[in-house]
Amino acid sequence: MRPALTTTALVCLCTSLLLVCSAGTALAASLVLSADATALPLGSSTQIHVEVQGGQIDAAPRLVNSDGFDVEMAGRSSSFTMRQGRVSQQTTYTFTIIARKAGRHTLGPAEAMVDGKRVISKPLVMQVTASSRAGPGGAASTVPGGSAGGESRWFAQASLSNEHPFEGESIVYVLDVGTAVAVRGTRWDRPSWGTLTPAPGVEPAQSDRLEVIEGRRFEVTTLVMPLVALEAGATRIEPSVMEFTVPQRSRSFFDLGAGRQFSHSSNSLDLTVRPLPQEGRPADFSGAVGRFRLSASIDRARLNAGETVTLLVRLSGSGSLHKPTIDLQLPDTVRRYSEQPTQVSKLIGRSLRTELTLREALVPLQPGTITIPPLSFTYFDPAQEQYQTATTRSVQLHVGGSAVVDPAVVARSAELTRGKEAVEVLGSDLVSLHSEELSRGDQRLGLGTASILLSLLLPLFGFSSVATVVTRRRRSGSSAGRARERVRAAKAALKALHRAAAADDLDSTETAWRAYLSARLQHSGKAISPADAEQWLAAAGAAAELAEGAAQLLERLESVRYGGASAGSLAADIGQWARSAERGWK
Amino acid sequence: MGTQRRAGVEVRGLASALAAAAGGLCLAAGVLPCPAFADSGGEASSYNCPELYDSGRYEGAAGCFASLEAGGNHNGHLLYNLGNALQQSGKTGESILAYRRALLYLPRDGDLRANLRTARTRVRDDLPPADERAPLARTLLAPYDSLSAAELLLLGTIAWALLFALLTLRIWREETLIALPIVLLTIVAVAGLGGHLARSYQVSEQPLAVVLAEEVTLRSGRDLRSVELARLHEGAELSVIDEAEEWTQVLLSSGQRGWLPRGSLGLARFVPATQDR
Repeated sequence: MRPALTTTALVCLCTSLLLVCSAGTALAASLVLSADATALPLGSSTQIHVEVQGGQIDAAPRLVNSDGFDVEMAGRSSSFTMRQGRVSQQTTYTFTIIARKAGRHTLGPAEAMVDGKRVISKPLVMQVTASSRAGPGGAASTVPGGSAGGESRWFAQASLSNEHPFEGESIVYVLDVGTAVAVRGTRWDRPSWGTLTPAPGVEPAQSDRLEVIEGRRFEVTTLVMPLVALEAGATRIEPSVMEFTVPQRSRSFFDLGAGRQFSHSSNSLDLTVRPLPQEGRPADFSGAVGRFRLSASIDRARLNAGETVTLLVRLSGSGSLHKPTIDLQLPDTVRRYSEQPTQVSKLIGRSLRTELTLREALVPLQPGTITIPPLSFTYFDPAQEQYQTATTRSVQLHVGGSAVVDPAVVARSAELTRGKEAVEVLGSDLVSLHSEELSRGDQRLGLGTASILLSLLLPLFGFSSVATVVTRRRRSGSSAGRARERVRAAKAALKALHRAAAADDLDSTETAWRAYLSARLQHSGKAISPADAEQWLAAAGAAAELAEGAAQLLERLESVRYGGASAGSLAADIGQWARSAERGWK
Repeated sequence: MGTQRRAGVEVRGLASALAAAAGGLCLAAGVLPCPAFADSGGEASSYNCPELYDSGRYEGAAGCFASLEAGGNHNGHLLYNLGNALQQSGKTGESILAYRRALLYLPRDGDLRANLRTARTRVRDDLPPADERAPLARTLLAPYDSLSAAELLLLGTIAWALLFALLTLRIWREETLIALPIVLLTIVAVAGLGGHLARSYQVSEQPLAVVLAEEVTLRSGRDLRSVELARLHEGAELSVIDEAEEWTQVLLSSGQRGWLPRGSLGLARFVPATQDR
């Protein structure tokens, strides 16, 4: 166990030391000398670069040997990089060299002080030829159209990327404009393009550089213009005319110096536009010439019915596109909503790049697997001089969920939305007069209006009246009811009394008579005494004989009940009294 | 200009129903004729007003409609027609005043609102009407705003009459199942009669004012030497706060308040001040 631990620790230590050592090696200062071109004609120029890595340079590097060349510093650039956790600086010095002597020369080495230490690069071997190449551009040029002996102050040289393009093919017009004197302003008059036209939506590109031609320094501006050949046949691009404004020395303090105008024309260009071959021309060919790629993709492959997936179709390539058509065949169960296609063209180097993007919102209405068939696009390839077809792969959609209930409504509403447009307002006017003003009369209405006042007060009075009546009736209604009840009870008792008397049933006769008296006198009859009966009957308005008769009959009843006297005709007498009393009450 | 006038009496929903019901009430009460709904008959000259308008003599038509109103025809349709004639005559301020007065009678009339909108486009000041409500308040008070004072009164009166009819039935028959209708009718009666009183008070005491002068200066006090607060133009709609002597204190929808000469304003009341009876 212990030896194993020791071994591991040693391995880690050695690895760390190796890493530190390698980092130190990588960060050591170095000097690299390079050239844009190692072979150049006599009198022409090129640029060489001295690159300082891994340290802080104290002063600009110098070339130990520069025989046969004129050397002039052109600039300096620096950059910082992180290497193995440490920041290192990289500085590049650029020099312009002009070949002054033909032959094979050794340039350099470069020498510099980096972090206080002297660092030396490897030298370069340069080949300088005695002959020169005509035309502007490139590493070496002569001055075209200029005066003899390199005395011309400017030049303008036009050229084409292809002098035999096909009909519909895009080519590039290149204009190099060089000035050897300070120019305050340059104006370019576009030439007549013949049967060519500038590529729509693409601006010409411009670049500037410094160039030495025949020993003279020129500021060279290159304009690159994409053109599209419209018609087959011979045509000519007329010369471009450049106007230069050269500042002049001021004659006085107030003379700001308007400058002097000079103009210079480029060369004209003749070219022949070839027709597109009719043989093998596909029916769906839309006129695209170049080389194109077609791709199709979806943002998701699985979704539910009724949800939206976006199909992205991208057609890109070099060349021009004119109203391209890509036919997308979809099943009826998929609704599509197309977005406006976008087309972007731009110059990349000396080539016209075009990209067309189509976006289709797809709404599957039925669950299942839906296959979007391969899309195709036909174009003419000028390099191979034949028609080509770019195709995509088929795309599959896996649709889940349940079917959308009414797909027709979805489609119709979408169509309606697309078809709507803003209402055009043609004018304005007042709405016409109303004709019912007289039939309405006075529409004012207030609480003081008689009808309203009555309508408010009458219900109130009506309610109050009814409420009063009802209240009174309720109050009086209780005693009358009780009176009616008593009359009913008295009549019932009287009837029972007559029946009992006729049957000579004294007990029943007595019970019925007491009930009768109770009803009539509004007292409980069971405890009525002869004196009470006489008194109450008198109070109730009965005749004196009747009251006395009632008292005597009650006394006889008490004698029969408690004295053992004979009843005799007592029941009949009570019946007789009751008849008399009833008549008296009526 | 379309000259075809609207023919016939347009059935106007609730207003017609209420009018019919109130008419029935009047007849039932034995008050004949009911003044508010009696056919005023009209004068022979009244039929010339639309003809004047149709023939393009707008100022004459405006005068004609104004004389009809002075003759006692206080109704929204007449004021609407007056507003149209005034607007065609180029009197924007007076036409807006006529439309605003017509709105007191016809708060739901679409023609009226459309023409008022047109008139407002000719007003120089970008000043919303002083009585414009916030959206929430507009929604909550929609029943109140969509009924005229007369309709509120009719609604309240009818509910009042029905309420007491039900109360009478309740105590007579000792019915206990009509409590809910009684509660509802009580609410409607209170809302209708209360709304009428509120509207009447508002129109009487704090009416809406319309600037009739071409240009007028809003001042901080009732004095021509007081500070000038704002410059208002014909057709601007303001709220009246107070009236004193020859000056009227107004409130702008922007919240600013100040005094204007009384003569430069027209007040949107049921009856013009000169005819107030």
